[in-house]
Amino acid sequence: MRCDEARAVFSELYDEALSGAPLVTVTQHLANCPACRADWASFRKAMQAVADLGTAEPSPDFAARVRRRLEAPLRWRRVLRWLFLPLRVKVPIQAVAVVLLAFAGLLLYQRLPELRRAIEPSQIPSPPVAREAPAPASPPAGGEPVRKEEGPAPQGETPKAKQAEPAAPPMAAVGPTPAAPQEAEKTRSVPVLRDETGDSGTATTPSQPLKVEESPREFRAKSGAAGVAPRPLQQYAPAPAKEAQISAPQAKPADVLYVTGLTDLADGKYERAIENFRAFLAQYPQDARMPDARLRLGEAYFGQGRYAEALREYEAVAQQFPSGPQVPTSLYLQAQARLAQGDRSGCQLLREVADLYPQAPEAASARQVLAARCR
Amino acid sequence: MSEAEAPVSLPATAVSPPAEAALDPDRALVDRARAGDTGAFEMLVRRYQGWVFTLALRMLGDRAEAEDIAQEIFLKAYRGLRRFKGASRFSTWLYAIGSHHCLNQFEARRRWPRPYGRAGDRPDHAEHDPLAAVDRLADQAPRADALLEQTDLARIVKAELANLTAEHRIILVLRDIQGLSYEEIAQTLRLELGTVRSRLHRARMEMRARLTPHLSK
Repeated sequence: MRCDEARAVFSELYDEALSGAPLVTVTQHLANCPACRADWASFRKAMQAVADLGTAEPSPDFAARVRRRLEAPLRWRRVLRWLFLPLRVKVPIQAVAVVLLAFAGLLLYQRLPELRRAIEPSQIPSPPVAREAPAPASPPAGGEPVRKEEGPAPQGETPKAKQAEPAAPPMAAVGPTPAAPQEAEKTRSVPVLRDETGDSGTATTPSQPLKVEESPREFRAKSGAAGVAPRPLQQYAPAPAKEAQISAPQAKPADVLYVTGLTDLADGKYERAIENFRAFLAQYPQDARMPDARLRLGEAYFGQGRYAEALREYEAVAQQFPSGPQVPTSLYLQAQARLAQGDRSGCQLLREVADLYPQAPEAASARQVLAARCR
Repeated sequence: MSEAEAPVSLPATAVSPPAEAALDPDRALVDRARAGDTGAFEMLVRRYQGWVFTLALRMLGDRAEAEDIAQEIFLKAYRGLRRFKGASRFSTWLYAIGSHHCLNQFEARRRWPRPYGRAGDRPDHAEHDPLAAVDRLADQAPRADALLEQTDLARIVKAELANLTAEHRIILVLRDIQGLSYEEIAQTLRLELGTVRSRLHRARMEMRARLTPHLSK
């Protein structure tokens, strides 16, 4: 055996893993080779020094600390426990809290007009406007095809009964105002044909959501008043000095203000309806819906029992639009407002409506009120 | 001393793994611990804490850090009990977890070495004392048994052990300090038996070469 071969088995020799012939051979070589014998002694000494390092023991409480760490719940388990335990108590509380939050959010949405208005404009498209389109001299006979005919007032609902409830506006009593949003939607879908020059053109009002049995335009066509050339829309605008007093802090689109006003009026939210219609009149005095907006504003005043202010708005429409389709409606509403104030001159106005506009839808209503209150 | 606290006696004889598993003295405690009995696992910890702590200490050198590493090894073992199917002894399985965890820590430390060790170490101390590396690895407040180790030869051996590669160091620790058999080392490190023999031989020869100048003084 050579020296390198003997040194190659030092490890196994140290571990007493050699036996038989290999063990005899290496033992004989070590006995005969002083260098290898010295190496072997050095090897054993070094390995003994390593082994003498021995084992070590951790701190006495090592096992207990490991157990504490084992038993300590994980952080997410602690959070879940804090959130849900005990289930019988915390889960019902959390369910109630969620319901209350949802209810509060709904209430906030309904009660907060700014929030509502901020959302609605993005959902309502602007109506298409053909500004330069030539206006027809008169609407075709038979009335506006897009105009939704409102049903007549219920037979059992008499003007006297309406009079007993001053909080309800007369228009709401005549026609089903809760359908105002749907009407408004139809109104938005109708292009507004407008002659802004005002010299020869006819300002054709769009289909108006009037709550009457027959639209003013239909009435005008049937009663032969369609040929009367209306004045320019600029003349219909309220006096600048008056409108300057109307506060309109928010610049909303005309459709938004008008439709929101109709919705508020239908919901009985008269104060908000007044705000919207006043803002509409202030910001869009040339809008073709301006006369109707004033009538609606009067309705809102009427709903609040502010008959004098309602009367002022009704009279303004009749004065500014003496040949407009809103005249019978205006006269009828004036009569209602005067009667509500105890002014018997309202009866004379009702007779005028019945006599001068016999085909107007207001004529039938006027005759009913005359029979009930003006005997 | 109770059965649970009995010192570790590692068999040096070669036994096939299935036979080992059948003879596993820890089986009952392992079953209880797997069922969530932390008390049973604490008994296993007491039984093997010396072995695991020594491995961590000899591999990493720092007593406080070695305790942390040993705790992590036991926590890993506890969380991995569901995966322990009993194909080998619990001790072998635990050695494997401990060895690989120590090797990972060793590699992490090699990549991200701490400049001066734990708090209290001084860079000037490291420059002037050839055994400063050992001191850096040693506990700053060693216990009485640790103080007994602080002979010159022990410090030299620990220092030279710290200079070995990880694979040489761990095989030397497992065999010459922990006393594992070749077969147990092969299972623990997942090596072939021949690889264990040759690697152990090279590690020992390197250690002898490093220690010989100090031993001849």
